[in-house]
Amino acid sequence: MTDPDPDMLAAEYALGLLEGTERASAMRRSLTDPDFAREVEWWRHRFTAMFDEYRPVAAPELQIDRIVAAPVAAPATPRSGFRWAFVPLAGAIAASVALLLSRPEPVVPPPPVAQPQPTLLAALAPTDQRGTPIAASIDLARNEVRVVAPGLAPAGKDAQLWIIRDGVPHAIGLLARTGATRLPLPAAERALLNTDAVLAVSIEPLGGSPEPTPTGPVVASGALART
Amino acid sequence: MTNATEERVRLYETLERVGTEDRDALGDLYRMTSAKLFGICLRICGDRSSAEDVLHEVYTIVWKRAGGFEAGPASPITWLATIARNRSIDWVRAHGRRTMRPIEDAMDVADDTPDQTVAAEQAETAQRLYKCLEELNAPQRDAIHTAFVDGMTYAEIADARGVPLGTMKSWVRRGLLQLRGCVGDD
Repeated sequence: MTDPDPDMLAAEYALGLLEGTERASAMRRSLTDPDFAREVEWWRHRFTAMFDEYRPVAAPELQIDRIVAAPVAAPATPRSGFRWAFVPLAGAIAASVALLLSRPEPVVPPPPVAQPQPTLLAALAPTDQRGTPIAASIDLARNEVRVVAPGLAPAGKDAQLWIIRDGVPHAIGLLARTGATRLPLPAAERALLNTDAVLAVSIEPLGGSPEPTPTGPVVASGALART
Repeated sequence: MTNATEERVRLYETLERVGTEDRDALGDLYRMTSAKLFGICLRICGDRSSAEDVLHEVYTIVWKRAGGFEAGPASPITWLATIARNRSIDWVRAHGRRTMRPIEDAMDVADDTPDQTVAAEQAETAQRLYKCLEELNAPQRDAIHTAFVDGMTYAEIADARGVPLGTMKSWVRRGLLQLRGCVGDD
């Protein structure tokens, strides 16, 4: 057993064995490395056979009115801050993110504790692990994504924001070259939002990626967490 | 019992109707799939009350997202089951697991009477996966199986089996490598 372990990252990611930094780096790789992404898909397809292991159990009565009326399929209760665990100095970053984001709009009071429409925060760690994390938030009351990340894109390029659910990126919009960026959260994303989602920024041709997925390097990414 | 293809087509048509915000279709879909999905939620969440909450969330997602379902490589039941599994895992990672099943129970796969929903659709893929899993040693097979079915991470499985994390990772990686070699040639 002195041989190094084989690299089975795609299978481990597909199976859901990873957490923390390992999971984040696998997710990042699935966005930037098409071969890796294909391998993850290959494994996912193989593993679906195990769905038959689950024995059916009679479900409670359908509460159709609650489902049809539900404004959003967000997680039912607030999460703990465990997803910060993989970000170094998590507490300090969370605090500075909150501070940064509150600055552009000082007239809005902080939401009361029991407010049902919280704000989701993410600290997008730079891929090269240098520099400071990018502050991002999703204001569920306003359906708005805010990012403070001026000057990310070099001349002739745009920085594009993505939300990644279940390993699939969905474009949110382009980041402003100066100051804070505010982007409307697409209704489809809003409905499906959960704190498993990751925000990521890629560098793209002017006007954004010509493809439905990022074509340029992902320069920063981070998981969403509830405030 | 209708055959797998008929079942699949019927489910696909129902999902299409749900996608047009047809409330009756949602009721039909629930009748057709809720026992299966509830079984998934219950197994991963470990208690009934959490599983009920997650199941509700799953159908809320399906209600909003059915219009976006595309018949691709994923069959409707696989698509629904994946949502149920992912949301259940999301739940337990946020709230912790209520009950840990004893090892004997998790090992006792052979006694389960699985339903054949997915296997019937993907008979060849399923058979090959199980044949190849059989060729692994018992701890490897158990860990891979537990990761999928119970939605557990390396750390959780190592803890539940009383094995050091590094050892568990090593076992599983070697098992996955062997599995890839075995199922790979298709």
